[in-house]
Amino acid sequence: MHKVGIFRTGEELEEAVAELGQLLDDCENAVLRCKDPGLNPELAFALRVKGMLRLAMTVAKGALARTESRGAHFRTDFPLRNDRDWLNRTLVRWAADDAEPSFTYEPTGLIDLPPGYRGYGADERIEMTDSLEQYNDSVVDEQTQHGRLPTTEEMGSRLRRGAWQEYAG
Amino acid sequence: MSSNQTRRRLQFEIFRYNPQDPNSEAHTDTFEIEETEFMTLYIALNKIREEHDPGLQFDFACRSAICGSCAMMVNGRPALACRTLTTDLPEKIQLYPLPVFKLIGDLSVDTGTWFRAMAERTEAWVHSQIDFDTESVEERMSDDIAADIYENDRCIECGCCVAACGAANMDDEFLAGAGLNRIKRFMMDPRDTRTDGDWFEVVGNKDGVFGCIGLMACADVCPKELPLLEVYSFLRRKRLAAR
Repeated sequence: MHKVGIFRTGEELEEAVAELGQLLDDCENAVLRCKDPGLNPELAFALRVKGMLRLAMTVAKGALARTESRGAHFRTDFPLRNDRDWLNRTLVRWAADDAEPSFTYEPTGLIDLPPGYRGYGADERIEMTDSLEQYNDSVVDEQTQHGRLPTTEEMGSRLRRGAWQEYAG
Repeated sequence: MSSNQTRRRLQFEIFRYNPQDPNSEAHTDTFEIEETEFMTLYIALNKIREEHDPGLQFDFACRSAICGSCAMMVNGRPALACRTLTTDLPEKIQLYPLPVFKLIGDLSVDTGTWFRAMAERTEAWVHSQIDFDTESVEERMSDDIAADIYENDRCIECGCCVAACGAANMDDEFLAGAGLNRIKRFMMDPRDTRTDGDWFEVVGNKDGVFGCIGLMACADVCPKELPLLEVYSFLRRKRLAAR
């Protein structure tokens, strides 16, 4: 629970990434002390530990890259939620023979209202600078770029775009 | 335990035998570790595995007394390793696997086969002749009955009651605390249509409630404090009434 815990800072996250990298290197040279036949708890652990470290690495790297606080991810060096730069979802891919995981970000989807106060915590954040229209257009552009075909019900929204305005009168 | 106090050195005498290793002979190993604050046997065993013997076999999953994997004999009494604090024990701690169950290795036993057989013999599922209708509203059960059933349903199948049971240690077929508890749970269930006569076939014999020799060790050792005395008297009353 240290370095990638409840309260995070860039400095500690960098240390965590370095340490996890070292551990990942080390685990390539892991040897078993217990060589008993039959059920071997050390072998079972050795088979799992690399995957556990890779998962920990993606968490640490993702947290380091996300220079804001959002939900359970709280950074003391970036205490505000940042809807201007970070209204997106982290996607990580790590192919078996890659040395590093690759990070991409996808938009959260079409939104009907700009994200606001969540009803808990401090009512303070970095507001998105795009207008709703601009943001949604950029989402559609990005999704189209990735090959999404137009559908009757748009992704990320139960309603067609702008439908809320009819109800709002 | 504050840091300026000297910490105890705990001596664990642990049963060792690996049935899958032809060279293995049953014996005990002694390990010494330093006691830490709020140390449970589960923590101590992991420490022993890390510091002394990575091949030590024992089971655990939840470390919060809900999975029922870590039951073992602690100084002669069955208990959950995750729920037993070392501060409640003397410096010398003997750990043995549970009796009755098949040994997997060291402290690890196979409780699954025993519990599966018990569930099959007691037919531990709701017996109902009504065809299940996905469209109809669920039948209601009173809160009191639901709460009573839940009291018996809290069993985590750790096997402590079976290991402590005098009758189960002598007779492999005896249903023991967990089995009798399971029977009561389904007897109380208003959805289960089995009659007293049907139940008599299951429980009214030497493997059921009449096999109990009344030591009630099951009730003493149950980590979930299930009302096993009540189960026993309930089943005895039911059996006498059924005759």
